[in-house]
Amino acid sequence: MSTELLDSPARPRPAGGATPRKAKAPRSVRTPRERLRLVVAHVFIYLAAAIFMAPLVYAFFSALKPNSEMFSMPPRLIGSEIRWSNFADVFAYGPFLRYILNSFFVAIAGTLVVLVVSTTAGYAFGRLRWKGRDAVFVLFLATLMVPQEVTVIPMFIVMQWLGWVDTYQALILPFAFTAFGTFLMRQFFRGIPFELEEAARVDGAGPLRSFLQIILPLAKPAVAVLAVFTFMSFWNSYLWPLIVTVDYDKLGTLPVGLATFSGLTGTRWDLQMAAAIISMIPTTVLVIALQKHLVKGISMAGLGGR
Amino acid sequence: MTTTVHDRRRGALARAESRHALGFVSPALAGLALFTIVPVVLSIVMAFFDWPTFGDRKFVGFDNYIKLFTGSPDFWPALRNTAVFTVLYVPLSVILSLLLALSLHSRIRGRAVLRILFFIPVVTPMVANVLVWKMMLQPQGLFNGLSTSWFGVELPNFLADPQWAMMMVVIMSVWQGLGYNMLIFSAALEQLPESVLEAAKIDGARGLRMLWSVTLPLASPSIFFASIMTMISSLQVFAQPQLLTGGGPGNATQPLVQFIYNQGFKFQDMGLAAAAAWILFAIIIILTALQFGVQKKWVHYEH
Amino acid sequence: MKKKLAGAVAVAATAALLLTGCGAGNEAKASSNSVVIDMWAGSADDTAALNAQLKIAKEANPGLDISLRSAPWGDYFTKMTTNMASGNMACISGMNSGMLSSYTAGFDELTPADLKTAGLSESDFAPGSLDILKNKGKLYGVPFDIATMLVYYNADLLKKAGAPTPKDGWSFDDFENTAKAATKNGKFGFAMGMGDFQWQALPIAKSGTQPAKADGTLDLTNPAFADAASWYASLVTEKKVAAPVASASDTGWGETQYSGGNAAMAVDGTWNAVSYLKNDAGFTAGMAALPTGAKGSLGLILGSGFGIAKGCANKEAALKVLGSLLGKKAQDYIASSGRSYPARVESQPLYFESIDAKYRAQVKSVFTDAFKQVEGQHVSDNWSKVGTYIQPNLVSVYNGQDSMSKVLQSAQQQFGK
Repeated sequence: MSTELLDSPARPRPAGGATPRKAKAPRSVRTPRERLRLVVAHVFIYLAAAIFMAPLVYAFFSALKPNSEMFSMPPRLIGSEIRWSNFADVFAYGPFLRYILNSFFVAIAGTLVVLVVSTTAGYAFGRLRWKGRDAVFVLFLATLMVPQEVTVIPMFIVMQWLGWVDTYQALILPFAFTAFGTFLMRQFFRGIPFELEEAARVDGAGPLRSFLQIILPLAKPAVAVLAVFTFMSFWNSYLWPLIVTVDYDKLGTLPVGLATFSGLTGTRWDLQMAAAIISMIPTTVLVIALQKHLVKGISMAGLGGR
Repeated sequence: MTTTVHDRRRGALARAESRHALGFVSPALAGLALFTIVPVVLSIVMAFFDWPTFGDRKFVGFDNYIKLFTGSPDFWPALRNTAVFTVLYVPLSVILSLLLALSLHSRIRGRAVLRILFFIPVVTPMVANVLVWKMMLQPQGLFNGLSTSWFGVELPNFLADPQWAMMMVVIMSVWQGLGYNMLIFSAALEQLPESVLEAAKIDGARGLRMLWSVTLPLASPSIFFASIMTMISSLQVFAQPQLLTGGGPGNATQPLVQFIYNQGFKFQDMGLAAAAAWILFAIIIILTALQFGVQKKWVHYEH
Repeated sequence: MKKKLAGAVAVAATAALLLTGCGAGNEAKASSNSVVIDMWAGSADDTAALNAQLKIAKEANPGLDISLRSAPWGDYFTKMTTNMASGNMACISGMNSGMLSSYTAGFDELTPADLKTAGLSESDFAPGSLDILKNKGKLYGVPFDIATMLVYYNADLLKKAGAPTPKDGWSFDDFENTAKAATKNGKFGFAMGMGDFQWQALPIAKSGTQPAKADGTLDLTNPAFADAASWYASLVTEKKVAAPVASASDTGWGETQYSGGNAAMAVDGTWNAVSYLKNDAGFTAGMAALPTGAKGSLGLILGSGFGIAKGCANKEAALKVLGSLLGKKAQDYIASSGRSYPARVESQPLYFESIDAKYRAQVKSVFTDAFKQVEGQHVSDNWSKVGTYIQPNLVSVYNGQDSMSKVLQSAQQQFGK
């Protein structure tokens, strides 16, 4: 959703994924009217998809044009030459490879921290009984209501106190502990029948073993949902890195790096477009790879308001 | 929480469980304390101080809040812009993505691929999305280029005209966020109870009537959920105007979060920024509470 | 799953180790003989040039551990704000004449004794150049380059349109004529500036006044400047010799239009002379001093340099590094690489030698001409706030929704107190 990308890694929005489901309706008899309706539906949806994709297609072809032909009148999809070299020039123009590696490192490390913290805390809230549990959980939920913007400035001051300004941990940790992941995992864990764990407990397994061997393996879909959305929000996070990074050559991430193609002598649209296309690849691949888990995860984690 | 299973053998076992629970929950608690509770408390404090980024801090009581409402020329416009964005964006985004989810039913060929296509802008860095749109919206860009060369019609300078600039921020945001709500709705639609749908069909419900009186009420909890989440995120809009319009022309598209960012990090007045952030928080809380208040009127929960 | 989980935990542990490693590395940096330099740099070229200067400084100070941090110009000053707040400011920080007034709190005043420690002498630098980083009479930094604003033109476009070529001593009428004649075939004669320097240069030259007084009071509404500024806006709104700006986020609008070959002329600083001559679009670039009006052709002497951060742990060492960054060797490098026009007089000839022979004479005569009538830039204490306020409003002005005089007036009201 629109604004989540700008900051707040690790407060991923619950959402769906794409799962192809087997068609429910038996493909039995279809009246001509139904068939017509189906054709119309196809035309509508493919037209919508085409319009929807047009900006990205245009961006892709722009990335292949020479900079001086970016704004030709009338507009042309393909320039006087096809410059695949723009994609290589992106890496020569600035430390773009470093931005990508930084983004990967921050997003992967952040996602791992979120997964470990959320699953363990979710387990404690969802499956263990202890004094004060419900009160603490309410506190957790309450923090979900605080918008990012309220904490971003004092968070920066906390980073000063810790001496973390311009460090990797400042990019990773501050937004790895928000309550959302814990909430998600708790909801999911609560749905797992207690009998499953009970059997292991009777065999003498402690909570740690039953967490690792029984509960976690069952939580794969929910973990996948959490992982994708956490990775995504770290990968796309803009406001926080903009504030907390000083040395772009060392710590710049992709979103802040994308803006560096506007320099003192104007904007290199060609390189900027090529860089934008490159930045889309990892998350798109991730969504394609994990799409099967996503819808299942949403449904099982009780999201989507049901 | 269910407590039916463990009622026997309490005592030692329960204590052991508490100890384990503490181990499980302490990383999350420590992190939450340091990275959420401390900043929140600090932010409350800051809002009562004249807190420059550099130099002496001074307690000023409610002066920051008073200054926001009376002495800060950009604050009211920022509130207005945030409101306009939310009012335009939320219904557009929810309705269009619902429409999309409904059309993308199980009998559409290539459904999985289409879903991924609609999802690509959601997972792309916002900066990249904005750059693509900015390029198209230039006076010499795609839209005006096509319009002038095909129809001879000169389009307005979208990002430089106060009204159009806001429209474009909204349209770009709708495009970007569409796939997200679509997937939530798709997941919800797939889970509608088969039995109720069949029963409605047998009763002769078809087409629009089926949609209006059966499908939508059944899906209303997820529509409600998506509306709230969309509303909260649109009240926090920042990157799109920051990068697409720079908040301009003038302050015509500067939303509250950009105002906060400018006050804190450009004008070096952290106290004022913190106060503005708390006003944003208050607005979010009130609007969310209101939505929950009216949900009984239209959200249909199964019992 | 178990294996995967074990793997994930292992990776997480490694990441944690790496992170703590990074943290430790940072703390180690704060040792007594380390000096950090903060500077803006956008492209790999910029960074390479900075590294070359860093190398010179390292060779001159073998006992010191000198390191460099950089961010692009657009973000650099926001970062400086946060660095000042967090006590994370680099001992040596880059500063620009137009930005200094908002950041004086972060810099130490440089005394004659300090300059002596650095091994720098005022007489080595071009006359007036040490005023560049002075605020209210206090010296906060020493410039590595001096600059002023020029009109750059696209000789190919002018020729194609049959428009007269700008030349030394040209008048504002000549400027308008060229702009008008070059506005055809979907190209524009001029490109409007969005940055403070870029948009103010012509109004200042035309009116002979600056939008602030020497004592630091804001003077946006003085009639001469306001009239000239309105004339500037009329280039796009009435005379239509320039394209309306697309968005307030296009802070480098005029520069992009010009370097992309869409506009025949634009105003920009001497710091970009070499990049325009070697432009990516492949046109023949030319340059001229700002046009002359009734009051001559007032230009500003601008520039960037390095200062010492307040509270720098080892000022002595920092001054030494400052000395080598502004010493002859580093200045010679800046000049001979053609990156900018050095502030050190003896290095200046090398700059022209670095320029392609076919442009050399032109650049030399234009520079001489442009630096003839220059004065230091006057700024108010809240100058960068004024700029932040005006910039998005310029978009409304250029698109005819607001008038220049109104914008200047409301800026004066808001910030002139």
